[in-house]
Parts: sequence; structure tokens; C-alpha cells
Amino acid sequence: MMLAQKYAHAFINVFGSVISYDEVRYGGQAASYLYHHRRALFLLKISTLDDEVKRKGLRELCQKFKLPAAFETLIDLLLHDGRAYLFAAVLDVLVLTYRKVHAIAEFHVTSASVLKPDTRVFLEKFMNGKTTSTNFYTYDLNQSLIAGVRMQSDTLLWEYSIDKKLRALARMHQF
Amino acid sequence: MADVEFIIHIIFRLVNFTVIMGAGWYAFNKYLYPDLKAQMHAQEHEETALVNWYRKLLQDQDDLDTTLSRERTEQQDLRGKMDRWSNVRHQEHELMMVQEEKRRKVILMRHKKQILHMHEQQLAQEILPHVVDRARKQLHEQFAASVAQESYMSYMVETIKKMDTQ
Repeated sequence: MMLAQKYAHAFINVFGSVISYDEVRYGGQAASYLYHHRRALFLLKISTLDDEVKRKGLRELCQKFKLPAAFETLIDLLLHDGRAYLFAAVLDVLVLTYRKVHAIAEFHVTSASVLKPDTRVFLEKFMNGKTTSTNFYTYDLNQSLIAGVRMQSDTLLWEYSIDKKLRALARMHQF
Repeated sequence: MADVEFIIHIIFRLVNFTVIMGAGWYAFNKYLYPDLKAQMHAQEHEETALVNWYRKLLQDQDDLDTTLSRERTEQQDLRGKMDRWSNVRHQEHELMMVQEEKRRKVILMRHKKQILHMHEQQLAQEILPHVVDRARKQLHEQFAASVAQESYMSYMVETIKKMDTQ
């Protein structure tokens, strides 16, 4: 993980001003794809496998997720250092580091029912008022909330739901 | 003639008397007077010592009387202090006993409250999960309808607005 952080920091230092947050997010999606397809990660770990094969596979991945040419430089560097297997970890750390450097927060908003557009706008305005970061929002359904909303980023959690009240009630009489 | 003899006789008698008296005076001065003088001196010395001793005894008697009187006064003072201390000690002991009794009652009450609270907690711990589960199910059913959801969301938005204005 430390190594991945070093590569991610180096990447941000060189390409931080060139790449956009959307492109970094695509990188995060590519990392998720690799974690879901562990076989690909395993192939990257095999040292006997030719680097050109790994390069080709990773470039195809970059094209699939519309990653800019800067990521190919990262692939070349990792292949040169014999650490291609770190690609997914570097992308993961890259997303977090980019958010930290550019004060970006990604809020995952879950609600028990589909939120109306005006409610979404209200919630986004509310959260933007509470934070100093540039916020991005993704929406999802979560029936376990019963009713209400839960907004969570890497560092913040805000919730107004019946589930939260029930959890608080259950905790009330715990020693 | 007879008168001359008589006179001579008288003269001899006088001389004899004088010689005897001189011998007696000499013997007295030689042998008796020094002893008598020494005895008198010793007697005087002894008398002076006795007088001095008597005075000293009188002084000692006075000193003893003074000391005795002072000690008697001190003893009375000490007894007075002892009595006061004993009274204060007794009062303090009684006060302490009263406070101890109060404290014991307070501790007993607190202990009873703690036991009661613990029982309540235990009861709540046993019951609460079931209550929460039941409430969760009922609330799920209650909020299954979209109207309830929208109503809750409206309530949430209003609450947030109120919080923001405050």
C-alpha cells in the first residue's frame, strides 16, 4: 500500500494539473473492474509473463474506461519496475489522493425511496453549505433506511432516517 | 600581845585565804575555763545552726505551700479543660453518629436506586431488541406507501430548513 501511495503521489505531481476528476474516477472504476476480475490481477503478478502482454492488456483496459495517455506512462513505469500488479492499488489511492489534493468529496447518497429532483437539489445545496469541498453526488436506493436519507463521503457521514433513530434507540440502553 | 597574835593570825589567815584563792583561781583558769569556753562556743554554734535550719525549714514550708497552691490551681484548670474537652468530644461523637446514620441511609437509598436502575436496564436490554425489531417491521409496512415516504421527506426538508435558520 505504501508503494502504491508513492506511485500515486508521483503521478499526481506530474499529471495532477493535466487530468480531470472524471478521468480519475474512470481510473477508480478500472480499479474496481480489476478487483472484480481477480484473474487479471493474478496474471499481472506472474513474472514470467511477457511485459508486452501485460502492457497490451492494461492499455486495452485504459481504452475501455477512456483513461487518458497519462495512465499509459504509469503502466510503462510499473512494468519497468516489475510492479504491474500494483496498477489497481495505485488507481485506488490516486482517486483518494486526487480528492484530497483538490478538496473534492464524493458523496454516496442513499434513500429509502427515489428522490425527487428538487429534493436532490435541496440536499446538495445543504451539504455544499456544510462543507468547503467541491462535492459530487451519486444516488442509490437503500430500503433498510425505512424512510429518510443517508449521505456519506470518505470522511463525512450525515443521516436523517428512521433506521438511524431505531439504531439510536437500540443503543440507548446498552452498557 | 594577844591582839598582836590575833592580828598576825588574821594576817596569816588572809594570806592563806589569798593563796588558796589564787591557787583556786589559777586552777580554774588553767583547767576548767578552757573546757567551759569550748563547750560554750560549741553550744552557741549548735544553736546558730539550729536557728538557721529552723529558718530554712520555714522557707521550705512556705515554698511547699506556694507550690501546692499553684499545683492545686493548675489541677483545677486542667480538670476544667478536661471537662470541657470531654463535653466537646461527647457532642462531636453524637454529631458524628447522627451524620453516620444519615450517610448510611443515603448509601442505602442510593444502593436501592442502583439496583432498581440495574433491573430496569436489564429489563430494557431484554425487551428493547424485540421492541426495536417489531417497530422496524411495522415502520417498514407503514412507509411502504410512497405517500408516507414523500411526507417523511417533506418533514425532513422542513426540519433541515428550520435547523439552518436557527
